[in-house]
Amino acid sequence: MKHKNLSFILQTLFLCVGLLLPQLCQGQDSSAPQVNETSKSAPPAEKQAATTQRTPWSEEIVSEVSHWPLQHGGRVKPFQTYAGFLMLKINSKRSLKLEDEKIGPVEWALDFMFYPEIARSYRCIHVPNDEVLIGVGFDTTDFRRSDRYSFDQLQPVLSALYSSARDIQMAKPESKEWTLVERQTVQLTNKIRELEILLHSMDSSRHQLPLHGIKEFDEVFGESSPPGYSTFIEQIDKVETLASPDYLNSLSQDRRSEFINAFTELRSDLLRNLEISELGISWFPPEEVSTDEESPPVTWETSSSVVQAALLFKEYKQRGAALKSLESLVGHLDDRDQFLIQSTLFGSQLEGLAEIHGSGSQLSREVSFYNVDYFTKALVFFMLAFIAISLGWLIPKSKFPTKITWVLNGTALGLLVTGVTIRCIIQGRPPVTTLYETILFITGCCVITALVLEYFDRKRIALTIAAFLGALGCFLSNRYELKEAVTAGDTMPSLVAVLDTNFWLSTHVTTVTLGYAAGLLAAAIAHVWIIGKLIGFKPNDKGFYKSLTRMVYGTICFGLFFSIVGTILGGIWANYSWGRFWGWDPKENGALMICLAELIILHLRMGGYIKDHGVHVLSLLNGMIIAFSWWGVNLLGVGLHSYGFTDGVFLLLLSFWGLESLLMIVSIGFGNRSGTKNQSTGGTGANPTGS
Amino acid sequence: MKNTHSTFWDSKAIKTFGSLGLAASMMSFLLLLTLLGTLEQMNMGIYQVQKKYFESLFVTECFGYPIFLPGGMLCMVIFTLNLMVGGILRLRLNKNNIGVFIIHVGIALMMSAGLVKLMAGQEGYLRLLEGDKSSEYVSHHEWEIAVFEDVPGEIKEYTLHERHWRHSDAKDTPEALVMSGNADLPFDLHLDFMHDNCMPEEIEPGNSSMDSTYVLDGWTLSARPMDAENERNLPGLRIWTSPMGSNDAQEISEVSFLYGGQYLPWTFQAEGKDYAVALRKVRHSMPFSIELDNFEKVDYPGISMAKEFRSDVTQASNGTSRKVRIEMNDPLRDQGLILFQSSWGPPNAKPGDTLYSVFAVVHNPSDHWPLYSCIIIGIGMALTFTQKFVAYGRRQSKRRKESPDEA
Repeated sequence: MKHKNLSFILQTLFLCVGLLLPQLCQGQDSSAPQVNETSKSAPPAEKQAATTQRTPWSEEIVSEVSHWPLQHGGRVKPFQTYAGFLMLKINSKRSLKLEDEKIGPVEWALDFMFYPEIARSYRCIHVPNDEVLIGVGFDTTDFRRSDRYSFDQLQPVLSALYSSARDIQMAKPESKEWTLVERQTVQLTNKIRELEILLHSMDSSRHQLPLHGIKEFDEVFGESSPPGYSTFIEQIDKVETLASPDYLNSLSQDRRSEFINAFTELRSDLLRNLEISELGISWFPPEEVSTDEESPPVTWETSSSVVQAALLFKEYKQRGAALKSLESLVGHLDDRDQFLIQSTLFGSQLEGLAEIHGSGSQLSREVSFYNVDYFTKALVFFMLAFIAISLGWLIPKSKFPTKITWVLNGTALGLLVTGVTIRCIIQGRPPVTTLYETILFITGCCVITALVLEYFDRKRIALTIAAFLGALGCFLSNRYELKEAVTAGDTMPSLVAVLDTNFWLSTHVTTVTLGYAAGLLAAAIAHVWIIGKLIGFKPNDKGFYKSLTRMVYGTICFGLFFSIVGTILGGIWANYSWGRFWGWDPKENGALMICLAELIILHLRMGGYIKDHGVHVLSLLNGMIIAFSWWGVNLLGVGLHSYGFTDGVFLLLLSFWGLESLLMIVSIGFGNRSGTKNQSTGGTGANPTGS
Repeated sequence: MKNTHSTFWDSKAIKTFGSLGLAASMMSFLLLLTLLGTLEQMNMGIYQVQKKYFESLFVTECFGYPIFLPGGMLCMVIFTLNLMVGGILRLRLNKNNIGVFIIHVGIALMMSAGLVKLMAGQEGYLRLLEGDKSSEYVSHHEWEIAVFEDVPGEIKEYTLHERHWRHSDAKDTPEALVMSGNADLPFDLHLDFMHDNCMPEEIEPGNSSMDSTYVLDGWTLSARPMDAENERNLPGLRIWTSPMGSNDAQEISEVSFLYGGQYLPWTFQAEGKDYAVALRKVRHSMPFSIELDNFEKVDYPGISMAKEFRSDVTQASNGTSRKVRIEMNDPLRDQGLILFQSSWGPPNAKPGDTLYSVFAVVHNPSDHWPLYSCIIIGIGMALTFTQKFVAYGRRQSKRRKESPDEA
């Protein structure tokens, strides 16, 4: 019983901390802190270091800091990922142009942590609709409708903004009932709340606890001590001794009063700062390792918890050392060599702690994944491939552009597949778990299928479509990443309990998604047939159009196989998971509609009810149904599968359906003549593969 | 004989019935119904949508507009028969269509699984607090009336399923509505169904607008609009007793309302005994009992999102018991019943509060049929499309050889 001689003063201190613990624990969900409380309890400005000169961050520091592990959104991730998605969420892009420098997410986050006074003036808070700010009394005269604001600029209306968001959430608990402005108000509030966490994350490291003023404190902590918690927790044993009843009783009446006042001031200040720190970043893995197989997942903690562990005499030494390294960074802003050393030390201390829980092994891989930026590079290569093959169509006799396109498409596909594979390794899951991942997977499958078709067909049609769909898919994934950043804060989020099964994710989800991919590819090829007929492209080349029909038919067969098997597998999953094979849930219905549409096409074709023209028009309809199943049902806001937040996608989807409907009508109306002319190319109908 | 057989299967009617055109038409109707049924879920609960679009013979209204479409049930029956006739019985088997034949067999099996589930399946839920034990589960949607003598200990219940009284009244079908002639019950019981969803309402004296409704002791049951979530709809009916064998439903001994939301059953006396009548969700008994030993909800670290739910239960039957863990994606299957981890509560529970676990309980004689059909369909499709793909590849190679410039 090392600490049995605790004095009543220290007991009071601990008791107060103890009483506060439940209150602190309520704020453990760092993703949704109560910012009003943060704002209220933020340390006075005069207590913060007034750093007004910013030195750019070196590449070495950025690289080191990128690897710092932390826990956020239910998983362990590198600081770079956290900063990247936070910046994307707040700024709508992963870069910010300063006067003389363009900074990335890690530099941006470091500025908010270590140069808060400067970073508060960064115009990095993107408000896509100024009505949100007008609604809370902000004068937007000097701003565009969609503009970026600094934290300082918004500071005067933050209180009104938070109240407005709270009123909206109380009045309409169901988010699907919110108007666009209401949704944007809540989103802006969430963005600023998360930014505040970053902004105040190093406040305690800059804050000087009242560890002086009485001679006892001076003897324990020295006449000057660095800011932060570290000095205090390093001397916790001596504080304990000081707080013993014997020592207190040995003091004179005057000294005792002075001594108690000093302790009371320390306690109040400490509690206030712990409360702020509790809302900060979860850097610190616990030091205790649970041996129970059924223990809950390991929860990483904030600096506040490290101090609380020290106060409660729990194991804290390793975390204390890491905290000291982190806090020392504030003092090394002008000595970047020391900053680098301490940041490296902090990272390795955290990684060491993570390792004892078997986590953090994918940190370097994740950092390198985002550094390589596979999907943007794939987009570039697909675009180059499309340009190359377009030139090829202009000079049909040259085979060089075709060969180049093969190489470029292959490179882009390689990047795409590598990126998807690395994501699987990092997450330890199959490739498709979120809407964002469906875009990548479907793009990859479309391109592979198109290249296989091209291998057999050699008419450059599928090669062109592969480049086009590859570029389109990578572009859409890039755009949708922003949406997932706003809603989930990550594109590798935690999965709801029922989805947390690799067997069904790798069978049902990938299979049904492959079905989507094939159906969309068929629709894309059908566009070439329909538009070609409408504009009179190659009017005398029957082989060209025949090839297209064969490809569409074959791709629909391929898609139907995966759609039917995938849909039934989904039913089997549902049957084995919650007891019903089919529940008429919108997503299930969407999958059924795809199967039905493709079966209808094949049956009508086999029965001779439709010819080539009909196959292509119905393939377009099938593409529209796939878009409905893939994205549309999520907009309905009902059912088990409404996991994707697709606000804003509606207009895009509506435009797609509108254009496709128009094309179908025009094709049926005007193209019927050319379609009739080409009936001879349709074979007997009973054998559409043209044998 | 052979000729007769051939004539029958080659007759125009059978050919039409098994035609690709009819198959495509039925699938087109199903496609349209599925689209409408999906969109209608923005306004209606899934249960009502299911009844309206997919378990119906005809659909006569959509989004408030009158339409006329064959219902999902009718389409599926015709589609299945068409598939049997055209895709299985009339198919002249050869090496090119063996895959198609297999696919059709698989689809027929899957449709049969759905039919068996619809006709013979039962489903409901079992909600247990930690420490609670039960050997019966409760239907999600179906109601019944239970009559029993109000005595302590084991009791004998008489139940009447809602299909006997919902949307009926005593005058129309007295036989179905009267629980009479039972030697154990010294009275006849009469039921008059009133509303699919209602609430008790106190009637102010002199309120003439209520003249057309039943008022008992100043109270009536007022109709309420149907809720999208069918579980929230509380039916109501009027119930009365008459002397046993009196053959006169108007000879009322005791009368009351029964309302789906009432907590206690209606009680009355007959021949000196206390009887109780309850309107409640249908209860099904299980061949074993389940006791919830422990329920655990594990969140992802640092956020309030559930990573997994699990219930440790004791399953007991015939004097033996065993410990079983039921968790997401890992149900308990025994004696024809399947218990799935469905949900938990109370939703606003704080750490340390006693939690309850909810299991979905399903009795489905065709439980594994979809898996078998999936395997059969997969084999059939793989065979068919591989044949087509190989043929396509051969033709393309031939074409390239014939016109090398295209390659």
